[in-house]
Amino acid sequence: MITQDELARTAERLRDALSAAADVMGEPDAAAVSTPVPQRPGRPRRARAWLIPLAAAACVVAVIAASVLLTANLARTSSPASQPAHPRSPGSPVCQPPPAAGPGTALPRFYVTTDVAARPIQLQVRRTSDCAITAVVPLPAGWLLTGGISATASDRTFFAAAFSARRCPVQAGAGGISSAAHETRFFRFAVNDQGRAGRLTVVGPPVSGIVGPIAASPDGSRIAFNAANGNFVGPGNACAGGEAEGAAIRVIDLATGKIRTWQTPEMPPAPAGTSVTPHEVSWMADGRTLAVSYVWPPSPSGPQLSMAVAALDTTSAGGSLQAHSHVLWSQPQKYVFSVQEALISPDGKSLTAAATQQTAHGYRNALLRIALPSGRYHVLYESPAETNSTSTFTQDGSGQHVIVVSGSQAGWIRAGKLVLLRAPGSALESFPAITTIAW
Amino acid sequence: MKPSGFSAESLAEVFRCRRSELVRLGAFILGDRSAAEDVVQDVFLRVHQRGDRLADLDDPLPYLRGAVVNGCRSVLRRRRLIRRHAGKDQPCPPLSAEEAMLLSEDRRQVLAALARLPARRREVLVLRYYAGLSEAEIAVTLGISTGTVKSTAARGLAALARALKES
Repeated sequence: MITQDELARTAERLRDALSAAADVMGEPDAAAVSTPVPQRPGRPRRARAWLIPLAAAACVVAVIAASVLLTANLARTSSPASQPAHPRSPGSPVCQPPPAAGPGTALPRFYVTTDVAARPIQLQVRRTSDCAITAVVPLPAGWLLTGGISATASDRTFFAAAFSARRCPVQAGAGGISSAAHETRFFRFAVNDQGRAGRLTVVGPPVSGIVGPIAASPDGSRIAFNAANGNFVGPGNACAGGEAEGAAIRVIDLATGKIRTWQTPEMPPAPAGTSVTPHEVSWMADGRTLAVSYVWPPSPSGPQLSMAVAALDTTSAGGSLQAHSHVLWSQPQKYVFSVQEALISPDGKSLTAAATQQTAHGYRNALLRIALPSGRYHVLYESPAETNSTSTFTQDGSGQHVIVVSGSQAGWIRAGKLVLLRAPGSALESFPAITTIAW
Repeated sequence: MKPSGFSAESLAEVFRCRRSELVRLGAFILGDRSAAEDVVQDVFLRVHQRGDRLADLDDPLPYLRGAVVNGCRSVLRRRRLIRRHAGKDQPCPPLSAEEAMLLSEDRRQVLAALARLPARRREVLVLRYYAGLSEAEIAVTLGISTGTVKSTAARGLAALARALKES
């Protein structure tokens, strides 16, 4: 068992080792440093004096073929063969039509994903059967996706949360952009039967700070999100209008603009005096119960990081999350998997959870379906071993159909395997969270 | 009104001043300085070619950090493909033998344990303990929630502590 003292010592050793290694590491090859030539008006941008770095970049494939991990105990092989841009599991079908009518609800006909590398950022509506883009909805210029996207139960109305980076000056001394006083706004658009998108409209009031992943209520009348400490207060508080807030769950009523807040300083079964950090939120079909997952730090007597899910009654006036919720599930001691994310099914009878198990051979990443209240689980999908990255996921309004994002690929589950969906690489690589793809 | 974004000249200044820092960041994530240099080079090249996309940002450094991390992920992903094929590759660790000798055994152990962590955990720990970013800044850099940063950092640190305890 790792104690808090050991963690603190490890952090210090890591900081020290990285600092020392950086100090002894030689300077990068100075010959590659060159100054870009200013652009000529009216002509396309061209990298001229950067031909040297261009040549170096062109060599990157050869270097990658020769690249290795630091440690010697990993298998090291190479191949001169060209590689596909988006590796996928051997034999995985891609963009296949959903099965004909069968038990359960039908697969959503469309999904929405994002191209976060584009400016302005684009929301793309794609047909599930062939992954073709049926509509592109750009966010307003200057707005960046923050809380991702979320669909209502009808899977035809989508919401996005974005903030304006222009509203907050850079804090040079803090080494980055402050998240304080960023103005986050919520956007909504609808998709028709042909996959065409309606107009993007701003809904609800602005909120300061960068919000966490959003969850639209089944009828689309409310939006829930978590707003933990770090999301609301940037380093130094240099931006005017920043508001210091504790970790909290917020629900916005889009019709009235009213925001209700439930603070989450402590929650059972975390030990008294231990602050919890809220993670994902998901709605039950009744439109009033919100499942809130949260974690708390390691303790000498418990697992490394504990997680639980509580049911919040959002018709309450706000205040303490503890006072208005009850615990639905908590990760038992010595649980085989370490649960990373959990969403509730609309009927409240189960959780879908992304989980990791550390084994003698590395990490096993799986998507679980956990029955409530028994806690029994079965594996819905297991990532290929070589993926080596935690799976994240999103579910449709029925809770039956899940899109898994694993490494650089996304897909829906059919008989324990993924049917891959196409999505911009920028969405899967830059935002491997659950909210850059939704249906 | 045109945003006050940075120019080609200021990008060159950033390149001169920050390249070493970004290369080291990549080297710690990849465990391979040579590949990290190429990633950073590639990032600057793409930024130069598409500088208009950065017009919204007054300070490009957080964007560049995120781009370097993404570039490292692409390298790691391709490595996994490469490892499926038979053959040998050529080690190119972040520190030369001479440089490594300047580090104590304890520090070498810590760096080796860090290199064995899953990529995501390694990214978060390097950004936290090398780049010195706050949880909020890491969240922006990696495009994940602050909660995920906290939990990933806690799990990564615990895994590192366990590995060092066993070694």
